Amino acid sequence: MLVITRKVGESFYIGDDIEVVVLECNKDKAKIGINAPKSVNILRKELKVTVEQNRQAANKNNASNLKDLAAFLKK
Amino acid sequence: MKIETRDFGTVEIEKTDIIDFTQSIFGFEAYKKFVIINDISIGTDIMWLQSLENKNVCFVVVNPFAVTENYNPVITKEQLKKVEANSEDSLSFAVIAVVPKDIKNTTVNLKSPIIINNKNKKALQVILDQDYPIKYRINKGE
Repeated sequence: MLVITRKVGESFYIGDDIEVVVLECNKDKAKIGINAPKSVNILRKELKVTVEQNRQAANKNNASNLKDLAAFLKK
Repeated sequence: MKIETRDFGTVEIEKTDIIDFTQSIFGFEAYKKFVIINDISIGTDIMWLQSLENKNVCFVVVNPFAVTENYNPVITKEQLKKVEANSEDSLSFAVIAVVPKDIKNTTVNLKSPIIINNKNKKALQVILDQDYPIKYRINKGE
C-alpha cells in the first residue's frame, strides 16, 4: 500500500481529477474531503462490503438445512 | 392477502404484517415492501424476509440477540426519525445471514442490522458506528 503523510489542509491527487483533502484529524478519526467528478462512485468500505454481503445473502440457500442453523444459536 | 414466496409457495399474510423500508436494503434499491415469514419448526430467531415485489428476493435474517450476548446497537436520532420511532424501545432488530452450502460457515452482518419499528412496521438497514463485524460467524464450535 502506498502511504503518504499529509498535514491538515494538505491534499493529494488520484489521477488528474480526484483530489483528497485531510480536513481534520484527531486521535482516532480523520475527516477527509474528496473533490471528484460526479461519475466517480465513493462508498465507505463498510457500505460496500454490506452491499456485497446482502447480494450474497439473497442467493437462494438450501432452506431445508436451516434447522441445522438453528442449532448454532444460543439456547 | 396472498403472496408468492421463494421458499414457501403461496402464503397468506395480513396487510398489517407488511414491512415498509423507508430506505432500501443496501444493494436492493428497487424493493421496499417485505414481510417476515417464520417456520414454526425452526423457531422465531431465524426468519425469512420476503419481498412482496419480487418473489425471488428473499433474505434469511436472524435475531442478533440470539447469536451473541454482547450486542448493544446504538441507533442515532436520525435513524430513529427515518422509521418514525421515538426511542429504541419500539424497535425490533434483525441481521442478514449469508448461508453457504456448508452451513457451519454461516455469517451474519452485525455491523448493518435491519431495524423495524414495531408500531408502524417502517424499517431501515443501518450501518452502526460501533465496531461490530460484517461477517460474524455464528457457529463458534469450530
